[in-house]
Amino acid sequence: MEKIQVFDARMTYGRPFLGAQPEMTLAETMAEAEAERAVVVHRELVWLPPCRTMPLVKDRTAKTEGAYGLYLLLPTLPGEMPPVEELVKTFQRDRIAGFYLCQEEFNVPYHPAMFHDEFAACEALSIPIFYHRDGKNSFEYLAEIMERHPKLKVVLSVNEEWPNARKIYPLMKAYPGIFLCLSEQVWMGAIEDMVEKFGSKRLLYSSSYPVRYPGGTVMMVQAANITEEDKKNIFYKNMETLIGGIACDSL
Amino acid sequence: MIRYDSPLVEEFLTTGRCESCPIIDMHAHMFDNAGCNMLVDTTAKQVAQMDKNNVPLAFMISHDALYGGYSYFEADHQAAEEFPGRFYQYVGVVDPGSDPKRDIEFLESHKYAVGFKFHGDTYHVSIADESYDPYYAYADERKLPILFHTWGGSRYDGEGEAPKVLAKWHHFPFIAGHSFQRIEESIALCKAYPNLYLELTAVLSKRGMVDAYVKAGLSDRILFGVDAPWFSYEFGIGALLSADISDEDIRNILYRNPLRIMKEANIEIPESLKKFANE
Repeated sequence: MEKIQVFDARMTYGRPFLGAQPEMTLAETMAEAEAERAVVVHRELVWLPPCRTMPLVKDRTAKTEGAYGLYLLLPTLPGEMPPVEELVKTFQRDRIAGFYLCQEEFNVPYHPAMFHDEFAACEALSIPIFYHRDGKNSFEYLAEIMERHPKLKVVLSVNEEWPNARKIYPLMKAYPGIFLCLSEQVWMGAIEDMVEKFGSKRLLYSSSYPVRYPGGTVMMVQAANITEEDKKNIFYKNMETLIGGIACDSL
Repeated sequence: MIRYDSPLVEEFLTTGRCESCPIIDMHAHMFDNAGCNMLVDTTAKQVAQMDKNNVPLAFMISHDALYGGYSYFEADHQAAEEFPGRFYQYVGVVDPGSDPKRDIEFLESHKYAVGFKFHGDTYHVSIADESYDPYYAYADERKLPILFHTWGGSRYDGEGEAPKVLAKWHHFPFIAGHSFQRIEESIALCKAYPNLYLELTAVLSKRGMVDAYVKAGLSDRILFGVDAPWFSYEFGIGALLSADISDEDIRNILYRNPLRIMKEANIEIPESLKKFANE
């Protein structure tokens, strides 16, 4: 059987805080995750400052065909990272898919005002924010952000797999910019119900590799009672569109 | 990695089911639940999902019965009667309120009631409590399956409590729902107690666990479940397809191991599964 092609919206790689360097290369890890293309959350993003993670992400991504990286987003006014409008010019060249939002280790208060300029720029330039719902990255905080920045594109992943429709569906309906990673949305009937309610264009295949088996989500989407076009949207087309929509200036 | 060269894998991925590999679900629930919404909240919807993925049979206890006890047992049995041969019922041992004589009489008088379910973490009573001995004695004599919610570190149903039961009762299949969420401890317990089985609900969310169990030689001691209707059979099947295990291991997990338990307990095997019963 021909391998099912995917563009993985979220997998992780790299050295965790107080942990060891990975034994496999990123390319080997993507192969294990069954992903020809993948947005990679480098673990160093959450415990090293951007001045160190940006070159690291850029370097690993450049060396790995099919990999796309993320930069951690911090308030840019203190000068720790260039303004969003400057950074975006490098995204296409360096295969950067967007920004990762993780504030706790960096002591940035959980209020959308902290990122007003940055979120406004991301809205204007269609840059996705990758938001992993975990700890203080709550659904409530996401809703606060979206209320202020309704055109923001957010790639939402969720750290719990309990049937989450009560939490996710209102957000998906209220904010058309939210795209949902499916690796933890493993409830019975989920794929068909979400396609029926929201269409397939905001659903993203993701593996959460190495924590989860990639085959779980592959099988859920492949076996879902949805059209072949919907499956392609979910497996790779939606991520292509999302990244392709970033208003990078041509170099 | 997904073994795309396997005919079994190909059939599952292309059709959502495999005709030569039925699935017996050993850990299912039914109906709605206050804590989260169930998209599949009726017996008919659940059977439709089972049909989709070739799950001819599920062993279940409804949320109502699990948390509410005896007054809901009849409704569970009616659900099984509504779809003959598709469900067997676990009788919940719900504490406070458990009554061995009453509960065993229910099991004996209801055709589709074939085992017990314990959930120590909900009731805050250890599964090793001596008040449960009548249930264990009854099941042990008949080799009836008992499904336990188990969770690592729990002082009610964790890996420290299970040996207290297993040391006394050697014949009933002790089905460790969620496999204690522990790898090394589960393997050690399985090697010490031949009647312990590891069930995969919430295990297939963690890459590597089922691989480790199979590598430890426990392919014939693993049972499949996904807490249906909470989670998708397709998710569970897909996880198995990308684990580092063989097609034979998958068949053991999905139908051979539960059929063996059913035969030893003289639980009637539905017509659709009889041809698989001697594999």
